[in-house]
Amino acid sequence: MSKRILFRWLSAVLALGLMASACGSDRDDAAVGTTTTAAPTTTQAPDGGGGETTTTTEAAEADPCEGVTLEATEIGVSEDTIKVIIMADVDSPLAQGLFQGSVDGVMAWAEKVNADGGLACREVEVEFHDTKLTPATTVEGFLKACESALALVGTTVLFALDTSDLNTCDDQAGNPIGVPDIGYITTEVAHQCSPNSFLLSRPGAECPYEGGPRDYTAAVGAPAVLAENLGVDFNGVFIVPGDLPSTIASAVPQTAAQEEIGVTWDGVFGVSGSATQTEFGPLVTTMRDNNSNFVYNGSNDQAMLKLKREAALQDLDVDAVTWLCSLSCYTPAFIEQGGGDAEGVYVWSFFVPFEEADTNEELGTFMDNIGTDFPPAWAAGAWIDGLLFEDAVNAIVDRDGPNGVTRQAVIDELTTVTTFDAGGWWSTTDFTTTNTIGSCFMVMQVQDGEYVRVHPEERGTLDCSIDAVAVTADPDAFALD
Amino acid sequence: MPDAVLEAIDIDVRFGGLQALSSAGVTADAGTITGLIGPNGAGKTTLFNVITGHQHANAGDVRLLGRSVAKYGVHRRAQLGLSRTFQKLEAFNSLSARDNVLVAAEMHSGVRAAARQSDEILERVGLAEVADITVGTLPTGTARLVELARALAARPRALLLDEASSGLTEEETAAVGSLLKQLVDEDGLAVLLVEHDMSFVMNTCSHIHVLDFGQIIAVGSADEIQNDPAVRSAYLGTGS
Amino acid sequence: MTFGRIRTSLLVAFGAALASLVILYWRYGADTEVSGEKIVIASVIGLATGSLYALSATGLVVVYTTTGMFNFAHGGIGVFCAFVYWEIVENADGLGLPPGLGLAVVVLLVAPLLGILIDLILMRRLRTAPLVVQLMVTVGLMVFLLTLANQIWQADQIRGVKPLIDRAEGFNIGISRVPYYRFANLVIAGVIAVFLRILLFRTRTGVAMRAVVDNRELTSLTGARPGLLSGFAWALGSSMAALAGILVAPDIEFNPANLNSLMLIVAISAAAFGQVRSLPLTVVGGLVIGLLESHYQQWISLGPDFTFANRAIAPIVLFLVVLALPQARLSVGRVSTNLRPIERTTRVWEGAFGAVALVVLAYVLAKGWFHFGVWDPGEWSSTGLNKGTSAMVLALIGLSLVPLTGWAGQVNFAPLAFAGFGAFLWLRLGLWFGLPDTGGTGNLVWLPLIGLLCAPLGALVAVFAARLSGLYLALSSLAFALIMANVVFPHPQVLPRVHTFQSLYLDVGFARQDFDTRFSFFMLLIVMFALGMFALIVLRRSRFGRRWVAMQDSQAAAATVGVNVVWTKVVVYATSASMAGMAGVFWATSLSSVDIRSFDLLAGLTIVLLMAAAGMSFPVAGLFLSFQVVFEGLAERLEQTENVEFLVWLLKDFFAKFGPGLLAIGMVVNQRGAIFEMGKGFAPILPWRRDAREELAAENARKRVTEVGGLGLTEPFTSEAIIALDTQLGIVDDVTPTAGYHHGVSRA
Repeated sequence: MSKRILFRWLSAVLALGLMASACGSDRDDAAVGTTTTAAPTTTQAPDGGGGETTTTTEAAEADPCEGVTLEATEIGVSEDTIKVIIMADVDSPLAQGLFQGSVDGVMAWAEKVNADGGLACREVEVEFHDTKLTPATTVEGFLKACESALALVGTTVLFALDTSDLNTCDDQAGNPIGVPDIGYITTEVAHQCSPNSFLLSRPGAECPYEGGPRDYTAAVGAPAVLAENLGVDFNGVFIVPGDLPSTIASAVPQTAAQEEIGVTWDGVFGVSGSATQTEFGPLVTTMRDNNSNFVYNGSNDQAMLKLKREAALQDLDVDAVTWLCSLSCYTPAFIEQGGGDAEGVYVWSFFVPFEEADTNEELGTFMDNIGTDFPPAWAAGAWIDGLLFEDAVNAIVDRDGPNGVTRQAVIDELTTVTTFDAGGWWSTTDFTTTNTIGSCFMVMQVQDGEYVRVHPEERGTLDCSIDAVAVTADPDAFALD
Repeated sequence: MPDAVLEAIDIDVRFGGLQALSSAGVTADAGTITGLIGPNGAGKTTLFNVITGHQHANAGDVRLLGRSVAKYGVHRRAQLGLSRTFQKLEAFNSLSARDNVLVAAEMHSGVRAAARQSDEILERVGLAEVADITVGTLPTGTARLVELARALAARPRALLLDEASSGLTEEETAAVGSLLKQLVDEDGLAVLLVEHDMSFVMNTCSHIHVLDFGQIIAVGSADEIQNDPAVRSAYLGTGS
Repeated sequence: MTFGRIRTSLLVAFGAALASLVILYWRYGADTEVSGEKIVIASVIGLATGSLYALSATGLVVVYTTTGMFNFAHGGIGVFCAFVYWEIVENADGLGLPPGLGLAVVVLLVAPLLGILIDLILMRRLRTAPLVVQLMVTVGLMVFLLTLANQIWQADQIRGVKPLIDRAEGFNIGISRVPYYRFANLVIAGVIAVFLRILLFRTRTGVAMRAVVDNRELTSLTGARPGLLSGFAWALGSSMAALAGILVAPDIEFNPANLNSLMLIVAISAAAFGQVRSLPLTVVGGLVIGLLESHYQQWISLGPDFTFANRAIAPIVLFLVVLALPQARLSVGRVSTNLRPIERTTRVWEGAFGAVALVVLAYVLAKGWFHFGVWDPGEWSSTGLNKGTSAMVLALIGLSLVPLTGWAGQVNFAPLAFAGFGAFLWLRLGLWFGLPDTGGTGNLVWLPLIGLLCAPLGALVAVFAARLSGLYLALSSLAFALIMANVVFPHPQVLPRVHTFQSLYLDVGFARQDFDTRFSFFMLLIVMFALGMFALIVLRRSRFGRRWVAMQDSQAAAATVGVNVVWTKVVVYATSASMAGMAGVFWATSLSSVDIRSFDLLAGLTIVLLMAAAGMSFPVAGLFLSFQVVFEGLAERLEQTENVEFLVWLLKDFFAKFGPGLLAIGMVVNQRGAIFEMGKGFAPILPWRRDAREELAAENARKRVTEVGGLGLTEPFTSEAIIALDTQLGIVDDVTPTAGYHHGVSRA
C-alpha cells in the first residue's frame, strides 16, 4: 500500500521537475537542435572580402551565383546550405547559462547573412552544441563538427583540453586537415596552440608550449594611459581569477606586462569566483600597508565590487585609488548590483562599446539584430567571429567561385589575415601567429550609472598607438599571495 | 583432574564509577560443559567479552591452554581456539548457512577441505536442508544453530555460548543440549555457556559458576548450586 | 567517553593546528610582518566567515540528532529556500516583500513545509535502511534540489541578496571595520546554538526527539508520537538550513552551486568538530575553521605548487577530527531485510558467459550490424563512440566500488582519488623509460604494475579507516577525496600543468596492438570491463568475497571466527585501489589530460550515486553509469525524426539533468538497487534458473490464498481462515482449504 503512495508522490515530484524544466527551457527553444533561418528570396552580390566597411550592397561586378551549378564541395557544404556549429558552455550546474550570449550572437549573425542573400550563394545553417564545461562534451563538439560542419564559428569553450580531433579529422577529400575553428576565448594551452583555431580574444602566447617559461604579448594601453593622465606611477593589487590553474595562468601576461610599463605590484591575489566578501580582507590590508593607488581586476565583475566594498568597509580611501577592470566589468549586472560602489571604476575594452552603435556600421548592424540593449561581450565576439568567417568565405568565392569553398580554403584564407578589425569595431588582430595581440583599446568610466568614454576622446575610435608589450614569464612559477 | 582449557582469573572491569566485575573468574575444562549463571545485570556477557577480547579488563588474566592471551585481540584468540556465539544473534545474514560456516572453516583450511568440513558440520548440527538458504530469512532458532555451526567450524578448543537457547523451542533446546554433550564427549571440547533456562543448565552442565553484581558467589555441581542459599537469595532476593 | 577526555583531545587538536600554522609561517611565511593590527583584522575576518560556517553546520547537527540521518541535502534545502527568499523579496518582478517579512515567511513557513514534505515522502522509509542507502538518497536529493533551483531560476540574470542590516552600518575594532550584519551573523549563530541546546535538552519535545533517534519503539510507549516528532525535526532542520542560506547569501556570488558548496563541505567539517551532536562545539568548530582559513591566507603563502591548498583546510580539519576524537555512539543502519530466501551468487560460467556476451554485443552494436525493421542506426559515429568511451571509463571506475562498498560495506566517496593516483603513476612511468615527463607511457604491459603500485595507497587509507565505521568512515573518505583533489593532484610534480596521455597500445615484444582509433579504444574498454566483471564474480565466490560480506554483516562475529578485521580491510581497500588505479589509466587516456577540474566532488559523488542506485554489490552495475549517455545518444538519433520533440527533450534535457537525483531518491523503494529488482523479474525467464521459478511460484501461491479475515472474535474462526493464517506464517505451503482442517496438521 505504502509503495503506491510513494509512487504517487514521486510522480508529483517528477511533474514538478518537468514543469520547472519546461518553464526554464523556453529560451533554449531557438537554440536546441538545428536551426534553419529564412531562405533568401533574391540573390544579391555578396560583400567584398577583407575587413573594409562596405555601405552598399550594389552588384558592382557580375553576380557570382548566377549560372553556377552549386555542388557539395565539402563536409558541411551542400548544394544549398553551409553548416556551421557554435560550441559554447551554457548548461552546466557550475555556471548555468554561462555563454548563451555567444550562441545568440552567432544565430543573429546567421540570420543577418541569410537575410542579405546568404553566403557563397547558399543558406547558412547553424547548429548549437552545448559543451557544458566538460572536456568530454567539448571533444564531442569537435567530433560533430568533423562529421557535419564546414567550420566552427563563435567557439566559446573553457574546457578544450584535447583538440586532436579538431586538428586532424578528415575533410571530404580524405585529407586529415581538421576543421577551421573561428572562436572567441580560451584558457587552455591546447586550444591556444591549435593550428586550426583563430581565436579573437586569445592571449598572445608562444606556441607550441610544453611547460616552463613562455613568451607572451599583452596589451597594456589602458593602465599606461591612466597612469600618464594622473601623472603618477601605479602601485597596487592585481585580482587574479583563482579557480583553476588555467584561469590563474591567464593573468600571467598582464601582470608581467604591466610591470614592464612601470606598475609595481604590492600583491597579486588569487580569489575564487565563489569567494565571500570577507575573503578580500587581506587584499585591503595589503593596499593599506603599501598605500596602493591602483587596483587591476582580471577576475569577474563581482570580484571588483566585493573588493571595493570591503575596502570601503575597512575605511580605506577608495577615491585615492584608480580602479581598473577588464572587459568583464562591462555588463549590466555590474551597474545594477554595484550601485554606488560601481561609480568611478574604469573599464577598458578592445572594441567599440555598444553605446556608440551609431558610429560604426558593423556595430550598428549587430545592435539592430541582437535583440537586447546590452548584450554580453561574448555575444559581440561571436558575431564578429561570424564576420571573420564571412569575410574569408567571400574572399574564396571572389577568387574561386562558390564551389571553391572547402575547409582547406577557409583555413588557408584565415592564416593570411594580418589586419582584421571588423570594420573598425574590433582591435586590429593578426592571425598569422599566436604570439601577437591586438593592442587597440579604449577606456570607459562608470559615471552616474553609465559607461562614459574617457579615452580616446573621439567616439567610435580605438587608440592603437601603444604597442603590445612582449614579456617572458613562467606560469608554473606564478606565485599568488 | 581434567586440564583447564580456558581460565579467566581475577577479572576486574570498571565503567567510570561502576564496578562491573571484581575478581571474577571462571574455568572451563576439556570434555566438560560449564555453566555461568546469575541474575540480569550480573556481568555475564561482560565476562564473556573480556574472555574473547571484545572488552578490555582493568585487571586479571585470561588463559587458553595454559597460555595467557590477555594481550591478544579478538581474532588472534579465535585463531588460538576460542569461539563464541552472541546473545544478540550475530549471524552473517546476507550469506547462506553454508557460506556462514565456510567463512570460519576457510580461516584454517584450503578450499576443498573447508568445503568438506562445512558440509560435515552442517550435517551434524542438522542444517543440511537449509544449507543454501539465506540466514537472514531463517527463523531465529535455525539461525542460532547456524551461528553454533559457524563457531564449531572455527575448530575451537573452547566454545563460549551466550544464551544459545534464547528464541528456541523446547525441542530445539533439547537438541542443542544433546549436540553439545556429543561434541564434548567426542572432541574433548570445553564449553562455557551463559544461560537463563535453568532446566537446560542443570541438565547439561557438570560445573556451574554463579555471578552476582560482578562477583562469583558460588561454584559447584548442579546439585550443590541448587541448594546454595547464597544463590537463592541472589536470584530471589532475601527470604524464602 | 568522559567530557574530560573530549576536552583534552580538542585542546590537543587545536594546539596541533596552531603549532602547524606557526611552523608553516616560519618556513613559508608571506612577506608580511606580524603585527597586532593584522592579527585583529585576520581574526575579525575569520570570525565573520566562521559564523557563516557555524550557521550552516548547526542545522546539519540538529537534523542528525533529531532524526538520526546525516543530511547531505542540507545545503540543497538551504539553496532552494534562499532562492525562494530572493524571489519574494529581491526580485523586482516578484512580490517585493520587506526583508523581515520575507525572512519570516521562508524560515517559518516555506522551509518547514519543505522539510515535512521531505520527511513524509522520503525519510520515513529510510529509518531502517543501511547507511549507504540513507546517504545516497540525501545526496540524490541534494542533486535534485540544486538542479531544480538552476532550472527555475535560470542564470540569465545575476541575482543578489542584500543583508538585513544595511552594509554601511557598523563599528570599528582598531582599524578593522565590522559591519553590523556580520556581527549579527555571529550573534545569531551563538543564540541559535543556545536556543537549540535548550530545546533539545530541556524541553519535553526536544528530549522526545532525541529519544526517538535512540529507540523509536520505546519512545512511542511513553506516549510520544514518533511520526509527529520526526516531522517536527525535519521542519526544524529545514528552517535552520533556510536561515543559514539567507544569511550567507549577501557575502557570496548568489548562484546555487556556490551557495551549496559553502554550506556543505565546511558545514560537515564544523559538524564533525562537534561530533555531529554537540551544538556548542559545532559553533566553535565553524569559528575555528574560519579563523584557520583567514590566518592561513594572511600569513602563509606556500607558492604556486600549492595554489589550492586553502580549500583543503576544512577537509583536513574534518580528517583530523574524525581520527582524533572518539566516535560518539552513532545510530547504526542495519543491513536491509530485503533479502531473497536463496541468496544466489552468480556462477562462474554465468559470469564467463555474460562477459563474452557483453563483448560480442558491444562489437555488433558498434559495427552497426544489428538492426530491426526501420531502426537501423548503422555503424557508430565518432560521436557515438566518444560517448560510449566516456560511459565505459566511468563503469570501470565504478567496478572498483563493488568489493569495497558493495560487499565489505566500506562507504567510499573517493573513487576518483584512487583513479587519479593510477593516472599519475602511469604518467610518471614514462619518465623511467626516458620519455618526456609530460607524455607518459602507453604500453598496457605495464598496467598490472600500476595496479600493484596503487594497492599501498589503498592499504594506507585502510589503516586510517580501520577504526572508523558508518558515518565517520564516509565523511573521512570525503575529506580524503578533497585533500587529494586540492593539495596532491594540482602539484606540478604529480601532474604537470601541461601534459598529454598517449594513446594506448599493447607491445609484448613479438606482437603489438594499437588502440589509437576510437573504435579500438572503445572495444578495449569493453573487454577490460568484461574481464573486471568476470574477475569480481569469481572473487565473490571465493573466500575473500565471503569474508568481506561477513565483515559487513557482523564485524564482531567475523573477528570471533578468526577474521583479522584490520587486515581484511587493508586487503579490500588495496583491491579497490588497484582496480580504480588501473581504471584511472583509461580514464586519463580518454580525457587526454587531467587537472583539478577532473576531480570535482560532484563528479565523484555521481559515480557512487549511480552505482548505489543500480546496486553496489553487483559487478554488472557499472554499466548503469552509461544511462545518461545512452539517453543522450537515443535523443540525438530521434532528433532527426519528426514529431518526437517531447520525447527528445525528455531524454536529453530532463533525464540527463534530473536522472541521477531521481534515481538516487528512487533508492527509497529499491534499497538493494535497481538490478536486484530487475533480476527478480528477469531470472525466472532464464532456462537454467529453476530455483528462481520455484521461488516465484511459492510467492504467487502465498498471494493466492485469501486474506486472513476476522480474528475469530466476532465470527467463528473458519478452517479457511486458519489455513490462510498458517500459510501467511509460513507454517504450511500451498494448501487448498478443506473442511475440518486442524491447525498444525500438515498435508501429505
